[in-house]
Amino acid sequence: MSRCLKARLSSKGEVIYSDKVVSDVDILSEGNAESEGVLVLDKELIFYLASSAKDIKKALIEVSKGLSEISTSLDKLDNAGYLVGASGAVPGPPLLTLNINNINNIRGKIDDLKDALI
Amino acid sequence: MIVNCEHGFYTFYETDVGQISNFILRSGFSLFKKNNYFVFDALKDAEDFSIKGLPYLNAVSKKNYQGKMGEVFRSNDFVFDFTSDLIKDRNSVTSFNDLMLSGDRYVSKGLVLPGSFTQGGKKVIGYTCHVSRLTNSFTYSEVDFV
Repeated sequence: MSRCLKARLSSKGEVIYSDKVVSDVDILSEGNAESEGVLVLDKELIFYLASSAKDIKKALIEVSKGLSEISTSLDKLDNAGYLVGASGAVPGPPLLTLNINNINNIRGKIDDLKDALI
Repeated sequence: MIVNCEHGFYTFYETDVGQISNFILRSGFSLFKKNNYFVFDALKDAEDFSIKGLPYLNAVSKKNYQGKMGEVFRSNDFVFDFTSDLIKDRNSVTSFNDLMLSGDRYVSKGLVLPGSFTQGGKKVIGYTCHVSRLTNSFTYSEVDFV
């Protein structure tokens, strides 16, 4: 039966277990940034798996920020009437309210996912 | 009582009531109960994995390995020396034992230290030993040599 041990990857690309560097380890993750993860041992096999939760959380935060920016910008444009070919001093009525709400709903779901990650 | 020595790691199995306590009294060894068997007290915290360069009880692991205790000992060339209560490198054991062939089995006056040599120059790395408290005899049904 294999064993999984809590470990981490240092900024130097070294796998650390119990505050000591582990040699001859296959690192089965993309990139070489610092991470927390697990050391898996099974007979002569030993490899390190980074936990991707933190990376996913960071990505979701950025996506949420992007959607928020898009939603805010569209809302401003829609209420300014630029998108409806307003003429003179009278802007056209907002036409994108439903679409903007959909974007905000999606952002809400992404925020929920982000908050659910450790 | 049966003593299994697999590449220098021992497990003791009681086949009749009182054998372990009797053996402890006679030998002076400290044994620790794990599940349905006993181990030397000094090995009770031994892990079933070793990581190269990291401490393994009193020794330092040579290899990354995870598996049965005997396999961990084999891959690191470890043997447990019950005379000093220390894990040693198998190749550092140069003593001789009194293991003798008697009919279809081996006998000795006590437990054989793994890594030690028979009088014929063969290095013992494991065995199955039957200990009789009635006759105080050590009979070996299986002996593995390098």
